[in-house]
Amino acid sequence: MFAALHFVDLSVHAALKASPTAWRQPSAVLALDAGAIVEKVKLPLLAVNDAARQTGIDAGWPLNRALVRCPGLQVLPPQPEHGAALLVEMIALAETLTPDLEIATPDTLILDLSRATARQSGKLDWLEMADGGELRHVRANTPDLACLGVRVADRHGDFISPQTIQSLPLEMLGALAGGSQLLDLLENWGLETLGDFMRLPRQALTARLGATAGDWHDLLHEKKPRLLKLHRPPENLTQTLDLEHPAATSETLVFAFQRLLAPLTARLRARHVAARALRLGFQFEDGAEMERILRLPEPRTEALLDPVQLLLENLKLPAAVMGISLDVETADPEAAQRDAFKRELARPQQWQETLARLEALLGEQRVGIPEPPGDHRPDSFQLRHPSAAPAEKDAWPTCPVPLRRYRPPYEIHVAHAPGPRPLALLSGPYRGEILRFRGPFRHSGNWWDETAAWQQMEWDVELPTGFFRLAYLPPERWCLEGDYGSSEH
Amino acid sequence: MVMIAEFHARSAFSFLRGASQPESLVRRASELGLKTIAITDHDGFYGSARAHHAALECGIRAVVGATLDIGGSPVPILCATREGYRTLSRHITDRHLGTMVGTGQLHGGGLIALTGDREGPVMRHLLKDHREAALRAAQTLIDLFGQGNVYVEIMRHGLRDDGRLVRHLTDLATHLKLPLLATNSPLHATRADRLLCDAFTCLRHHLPLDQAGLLLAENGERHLKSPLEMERLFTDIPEALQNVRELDERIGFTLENLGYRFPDFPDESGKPMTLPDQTTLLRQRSHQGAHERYGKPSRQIFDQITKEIELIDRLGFSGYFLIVQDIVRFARSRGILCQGRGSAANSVVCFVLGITNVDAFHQRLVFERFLSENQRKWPDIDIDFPSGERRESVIQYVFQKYGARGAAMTANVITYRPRSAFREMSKVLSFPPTLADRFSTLGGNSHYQGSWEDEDREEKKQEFDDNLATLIPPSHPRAEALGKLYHAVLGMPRHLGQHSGGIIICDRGLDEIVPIEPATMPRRTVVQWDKDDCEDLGIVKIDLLGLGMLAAMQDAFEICGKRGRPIDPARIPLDDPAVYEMLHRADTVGTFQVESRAQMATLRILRPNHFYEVAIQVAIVRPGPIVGDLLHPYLRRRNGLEPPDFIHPDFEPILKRTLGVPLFQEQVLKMAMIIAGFSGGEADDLRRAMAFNRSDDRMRKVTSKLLHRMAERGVDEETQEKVVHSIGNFALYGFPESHALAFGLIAYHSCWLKVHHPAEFYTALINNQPMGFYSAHSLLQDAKHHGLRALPVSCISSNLLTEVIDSNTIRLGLHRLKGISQETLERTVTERERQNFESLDDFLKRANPNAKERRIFAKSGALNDLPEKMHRREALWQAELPFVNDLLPVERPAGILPAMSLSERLAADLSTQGLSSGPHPMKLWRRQSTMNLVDARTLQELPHAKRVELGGLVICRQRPGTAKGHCFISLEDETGISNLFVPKKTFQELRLIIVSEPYLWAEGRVQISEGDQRTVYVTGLRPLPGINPGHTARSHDFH
Repeated sequence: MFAALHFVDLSVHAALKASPTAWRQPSAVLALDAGAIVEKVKLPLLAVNDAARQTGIDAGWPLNRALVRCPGLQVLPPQPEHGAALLVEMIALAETLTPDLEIATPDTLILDLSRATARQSGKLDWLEMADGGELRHVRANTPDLACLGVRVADRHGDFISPQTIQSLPLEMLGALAGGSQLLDLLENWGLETLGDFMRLPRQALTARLGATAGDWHDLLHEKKPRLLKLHRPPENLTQTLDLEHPAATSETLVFAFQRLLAPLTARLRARHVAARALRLGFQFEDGAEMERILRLPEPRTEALLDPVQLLLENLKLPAAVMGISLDVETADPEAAQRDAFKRELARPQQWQETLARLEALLGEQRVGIPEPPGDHRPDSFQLRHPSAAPAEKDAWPTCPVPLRRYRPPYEIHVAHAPGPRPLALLSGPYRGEILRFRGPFRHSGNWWDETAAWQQMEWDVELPTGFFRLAYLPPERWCLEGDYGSSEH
Repeated sequence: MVMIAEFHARSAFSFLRGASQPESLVRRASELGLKTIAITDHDGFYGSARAHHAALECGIRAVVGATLDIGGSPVPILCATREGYRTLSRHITDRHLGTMVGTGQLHGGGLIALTGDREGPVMRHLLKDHREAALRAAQTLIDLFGQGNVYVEIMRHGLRDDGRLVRHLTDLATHLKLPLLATNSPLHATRADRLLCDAFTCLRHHLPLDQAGLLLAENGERHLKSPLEMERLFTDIPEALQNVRELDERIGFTLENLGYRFPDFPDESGKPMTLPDQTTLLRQRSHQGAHERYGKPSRQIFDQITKEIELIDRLGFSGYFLIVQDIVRFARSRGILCQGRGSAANSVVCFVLGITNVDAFHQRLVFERFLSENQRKWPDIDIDFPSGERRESVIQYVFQKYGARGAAMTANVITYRPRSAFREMSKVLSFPPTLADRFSTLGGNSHYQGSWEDEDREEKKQEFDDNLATLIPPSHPRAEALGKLYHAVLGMPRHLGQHSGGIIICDRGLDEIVPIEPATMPRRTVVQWDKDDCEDLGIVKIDLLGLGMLAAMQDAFEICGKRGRPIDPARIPLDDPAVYEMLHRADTVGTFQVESRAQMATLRILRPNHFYEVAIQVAIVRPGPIVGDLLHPYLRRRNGLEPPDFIHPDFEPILKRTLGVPLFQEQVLKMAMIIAGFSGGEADDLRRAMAFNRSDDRMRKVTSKLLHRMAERGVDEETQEKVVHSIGNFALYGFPESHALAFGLIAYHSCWLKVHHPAEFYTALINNQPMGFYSAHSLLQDAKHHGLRALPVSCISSNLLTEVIDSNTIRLGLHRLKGISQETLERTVTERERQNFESLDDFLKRANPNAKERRIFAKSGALNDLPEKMHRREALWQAELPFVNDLLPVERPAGILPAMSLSERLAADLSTQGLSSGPHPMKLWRRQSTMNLVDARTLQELPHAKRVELGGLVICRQRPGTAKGHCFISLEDETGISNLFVPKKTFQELRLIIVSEPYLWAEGRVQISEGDQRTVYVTGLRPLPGINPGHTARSHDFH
């Protein structure tokens, strides 16, 4: 004996969790691009609620057509996280009846009741979701028949048999694998109910539509038993530790994490996996929480404390820590033969530790290799992550003479002729009449964005004290950007 | 030393490289004081013709050139002599046509190569400091073009490495003894155009601006610079400026000396004839044709022919007429129906040569409107052929006769229109694609026709800004850039297409006159200039156009011939009362030009009684006359409700036939000649400016000239306004009178066929779908209303095409079955002709349809007539059994499926064939519905203002630009067609229902308008309840 448990309109309920005020309004679930013109979207609705169904529309209707029938239809984006949470809740309910269950679809479970007592089976009628929502169930002798029958609204609590499904509409075959492809043909044959389909001779049907149609025939006639693909929850490697006394120093935290790392290492080894990243969680005295992810240069099971210690030593904690947690992202252990190939980095762990130390000092995303920019803006650079491959360099530098840049550049006053054409530097560390100059060299960019547009004119100027790069930034800024070697250096 | 020329400019015809129109570059060059500009577009002379035309206007010189990819780098090449031009044109053609390209031909001496910009073969190596590679590249250019024909191009764009590059280039020039040439290598006319240039770069690299980085220009210096500015830049290298001057003197060729000649007509031995010989032949053929056309032509006819031929001879056009007649003769020899349209129909010579079918003599058409003494341009003869293979065979005849490189189609420049402009520019600015979708739904400046008048420009700009403000806040940091780019790109060339029928021919290699490219259609080639460019340069174009109705009429005539009732279209009487009665009833579904709802409504008021009024009917229901408010004055005057107003007393002779309403282009031209004293040439300019889709620049100029002249001649302001108003209307879809007569003739012939040979008429229409205003389903319904019976598709009885069984019966052809390959259909017919199908197995074996095709055959009922006599479901069941080609027959026990109901059969017909020989879906609906809705026939008997509810299949939804937002819907039921009027407000409220529901249930009140026509003024609309969703047919929407 099998039972099927179905959460009616699960995806709508999941979506409505995010918009609780919309419960009573006609609503449908569909992922739309931002700014899409809903009246033009022809995508089929993924699910609708009862209020929408009462207007005559249903899941599968193209959105534009659905809006004709139901102009007030509210389109909600899918909420897979909420959907997953509802499924977890459903599984927990089902497990009170039997541990042997299969997740047939994200909103339907098949339960094997052969080992359940009558009392346990009887609980089926009393299952309820915490936040409401209709849980529908049917029983049947085969799992697939139960799964098919549970989709029919008025069969709740029934025992599904070949006799009771005869009057169901043919479209129900669409729920079976490959069913939707043959529905057109079956409709052309004039079939309207599952009974019409079941009455066709199996052999003739198989001869025409192949073995799949024969399987459906068997399924509907209760002639297709099978074993369930049992659901087993994944193992969790997360560990938490509530500290007896609030910890304010890194030593205490290192010690605490060391306690968690030892069993973790053992578990990883037992499962033949390695840690790719560690997720460190902190619960503070004031109730706040913080998480840090520690990516390891290579998956490993040993020496996990070193990077954790390094991180903790450089971490600035806003308050004393009351509790910690440790989770791990696993990967297959490294299979490379260490001596077979020469590595680019002799000691990648040490390199990673150095980078981590720097990142802890400077902040995230502020460590990398400076490279010439991807645009024409002077003195701009981009940071390449150390693990990223360097870009190919083909062009000859536009200025072969080395420039010592002033960072930040000196803002100065300049005497100039119209154009502008600089004549003398009036302020700043290097003053004096401009003896000679080259330029102007014009640069501009990002003109398409008012907030980022820039333009600049540059001159290479000779002062009595040396050679400098002078820049004019309209409308009135002048900067001394660097020198090509002044006499004072 | 003042620089006087820019030799390396690229226009927007370099497609996604240059950012200015060639005309803008030339005008800017002229403003800056340059004497010469060379447009060197990539891979062709695309922009040269336009640049040449603009240069003539500005009084400067446009040198022809192109930028070619040599060894992976773009090399600008200039044409110094006509021979050089020919060589380069042929070379570009070779490249495009993929024939063996030899660079040896470039060594001829008439071509000059520049070393190019930073992407060029020399500088790209110098940028990497590869001086040896640069030297080798320069040497290669010398080898290709000759020592004296290579110039080392130097430019200064205000970049830090300019100095180093110029130094290297100077060294290289000295080393190779090459002259230096100062250029700025402009990609746009002004500094401001750099924005669009950057946007084009992004489109070329499929990147948004944010990611384009170093691909974008470093600054905005790639614009045309004045001689003084260039002199300042190159003051240290005077020889580079001096060489510009010398090169300018050296280049002697412009498109003025293109050397195009229209071919002379060949004699029997294939040798080109002299002009006198051609004229003699033309005279001889005209006289012969006059006897064929008129039987015994009168003296006046001969006089007219003589007069026309004398003028044709004086203008040197005799060969042209003979060549056009040759094409027409070829078509006739293959039984292909054809007729000339346009102003050629004003000529009796064209009529007697068989080029046109309008009797210019008896229609009193004035020959001078076709050809006049002071005409310098070649006459324009457009010929309609049946669309499809028959027209293609005529085009291929021309290609064959003049050789693959002697004839080619003219190009059609596809430009950025509002929607494409917005989509592309919002894309480069990283806006989401949905923004462009929303812009499109707002209408996207949809009435843009290539350019706007100045006053319109401001209005449209405001409209755009308003639309944009509803899409993104004006404070958005990229809103301004989007607006600028959108306006900059509008009207810019996007790519080249093929003109629908314009073909040009040349007395020798056309590829030496203009580069030829392969067209997307197989066995066709296209030149790099559009029809206006060709016309500007004196290249003669012949339009071989395709007309669906002509194909249908030809089919109808052929069917009549096969049925022993041959018809000579030339002998169809133009005064048949039955035809006019049908026109009075507006029973014109399926006919040519007069079948639309607007035409039908006007027919009932106009009630044409002779052929000329049919032509007026064709000409008057068009956007031009409707917007210009010419329709109602004419109808009122025609029905005696108001007297004719001739605008000005001098116009009376011209406007008398159209009761004072200037309906035809010839009338407008004549008015301009009379009231503003326009010469023939000026009138011709006006004609060209009025041509649809033409630049508004010309129109603006010619209008201001017209106003100026009228003011000079003391014409009062009101008359001036009326005249300009009339002309403005013709800028939108104006018709020449002769063209209206030519189309009117086809319209009349189609009506005549419908009246006298309905079976042949509908059969031909169904065989030529899609065409016209109505779907095959609606045409078949109309046929049934006219007493025709349609037999269903049958694999035993149907031929490939629909055919006539007898005067009242047609048999639908296998071609109606959607989803079955042409090969299977042909195999079915061939095998059946060989031997009748003896069984389903026999059919499956010999016709060999695949699984999907079997289902279509069975579902459509085409297998019902097989000896097994299966109903459709039985056929579907049996056809599904895999067929094994075995010696033993397949066992087929009788099926167990019930037969389809009538409603199911109708749905199956509509889904497999788009029409049904069965009843109208509304008839079935009425049988099972308790609702009491009025049908189309009853509606015609209801009084004004009566409240009414009716339902039907939507066959047409229209919301023309002239209707101020109101919507017109046509509902079809088993008794006919009802017309609904949905006011703007109701349309906006019910838009979704209107656009998406195939059947409607309408509430409203009856309105009886002029001509006793009933329309329902809609107050409410709902989907028709209870209709079978499978009963839908194609509708004609918003065209």
